Amino acid sequence: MSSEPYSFSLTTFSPSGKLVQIEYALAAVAAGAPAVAIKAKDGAVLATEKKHKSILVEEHSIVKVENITNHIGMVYSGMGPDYRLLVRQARKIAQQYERNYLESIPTTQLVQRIAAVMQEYTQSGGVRPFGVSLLICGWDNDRPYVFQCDPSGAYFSWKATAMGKNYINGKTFLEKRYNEDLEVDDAVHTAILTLKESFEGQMSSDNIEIGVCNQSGFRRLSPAESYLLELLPKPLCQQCRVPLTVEHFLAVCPSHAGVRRACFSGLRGDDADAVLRGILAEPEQASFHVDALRTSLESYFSMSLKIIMNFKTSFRQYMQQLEDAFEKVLGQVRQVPNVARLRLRGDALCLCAPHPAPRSQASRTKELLQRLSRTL
Amino acid sequence: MSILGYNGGCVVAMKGKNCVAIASDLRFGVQLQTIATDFERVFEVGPHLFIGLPGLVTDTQTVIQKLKFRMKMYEMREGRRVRPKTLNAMVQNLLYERRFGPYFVEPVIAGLDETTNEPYICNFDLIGSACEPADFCVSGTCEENLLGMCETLWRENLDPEDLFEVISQSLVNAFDRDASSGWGAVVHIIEPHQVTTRRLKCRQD
Repeated sequence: MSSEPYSFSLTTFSPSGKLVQIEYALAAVAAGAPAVAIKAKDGAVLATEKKHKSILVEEHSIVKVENITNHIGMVYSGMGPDYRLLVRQARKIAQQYERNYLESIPTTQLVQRIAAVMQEYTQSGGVRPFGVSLLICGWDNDRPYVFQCDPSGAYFSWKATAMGKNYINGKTFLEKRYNEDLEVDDAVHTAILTLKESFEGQMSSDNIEIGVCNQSGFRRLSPAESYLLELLPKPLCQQCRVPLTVEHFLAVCPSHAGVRRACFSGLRGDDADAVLRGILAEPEQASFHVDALRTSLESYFSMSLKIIMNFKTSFRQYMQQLEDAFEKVLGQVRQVPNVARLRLRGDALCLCAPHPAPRSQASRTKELLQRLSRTL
Repeated sequence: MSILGYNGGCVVAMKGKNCVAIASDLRFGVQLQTIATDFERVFEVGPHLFIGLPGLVTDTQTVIQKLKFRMKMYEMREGRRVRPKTLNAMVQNLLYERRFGPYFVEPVIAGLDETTNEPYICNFDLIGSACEPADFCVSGTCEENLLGMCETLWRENLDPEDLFEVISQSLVNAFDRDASSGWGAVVHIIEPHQVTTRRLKCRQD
């Protein structure tokens, strides 16, 4: 670099108007572990990679995502020891504010003060700038905030950002994926995907750290909340930890066994579960004696389809929709005296042609089948 | 004579229905001699926020200057006005910083919270111990007289007109029985949409 001669002293400008030490500090940040922050509608998310150099390292003894107050959290990219000092100072600043004004420090105020600290180290003798960039998220005034603090002392407010290794790719990914209507669960998912872009190896709950900030404050997610990490196309059943399919929900999951028994009490045999599974296993023709049953099954089917197609909605919503749909249909089915058999194939309900049935009914059902097979 | 009674003066604040009132006398004296009869010891520090500083006048002047300094810095840094509860914290800190060489003032604050318009009154002792009663706050050389008068006359949910009557009568009848206070009074009634300031005509002795 042509500015090499001026790069030894922090307090000397180079001819191009730069403080080279700060540029170098930013290079240290860009070589650090990736960190991501995303602001959602009802909260904010911080995430970072926590790769260990050796398998002998005690994984959970070091934490990177730290609380500064109940409602503000912080993560970094760059040099860990510098970060620790800033965390200490930030916590002290927050408590001093609370002592002076008897109220929690607003996120903007904390960020300004931390940035002032970082700036001090760029204009003093005998010190070097901090080799970290901080991502700070907090909740006050009924809204979330996400800020970045640089070694130079500059601070920025972001909707979503990435820093550290591969940050350009991370930012590009976020530009595509970010929208204003994200909820916190979606934001966590997006943050994990962003980290995955630059992740070498297998990602698990032990080598990343996530912090979530919402109305009830800031907290770091524990490794046990790792279900969020499993980036399967479908959410998991919360009890059984298997992919949540309609089949699982309708015929297999033990938490709904009671409801199933109550609703399918008209089926042959005592064990409704076994009967249903048997039906699932063997392809049999279903017969419809009552129009009401068919209508309700139709609506259930289309609802299930929608649910399966829209599994991008948050996990919680999926569960709720599935439960509601199930309850609704079985409530209706319970009223019908002759429930014959349902044919369930894999993730979807298939309506089969009735046997025997008048021509009109058969054609209607055939139509339905064709429509459904197209959408599948 | 106690140093807090060297210059004389008193302040009273009361809560009403969606309003607060704060009032003080106007005497500035040096022991027995009255120097001025227009010395205001209640200051406006926000659109609906007042603070009264009875006690040693030199400290009244210094404390209000320091407080205004801190409040203006706060408002510029944070981009928002100081709320009554925040002012409480600031006054406490300011006074306790001088724990072992205190300012000889015993402040009273009265105001409405700017978003909720909730009435707020509070009084402090000279080293920053705060007290937030639900009814009225008194301070100054005739504070016992004021306590007696307020206790008798105050009722809950007084509307602004009645509150003015009550606070004026309490103040005037209290300082009429005190040699170091009196010589006129000022009353501020603070409502969400307006602040009314009235001067009272009373015995000039």
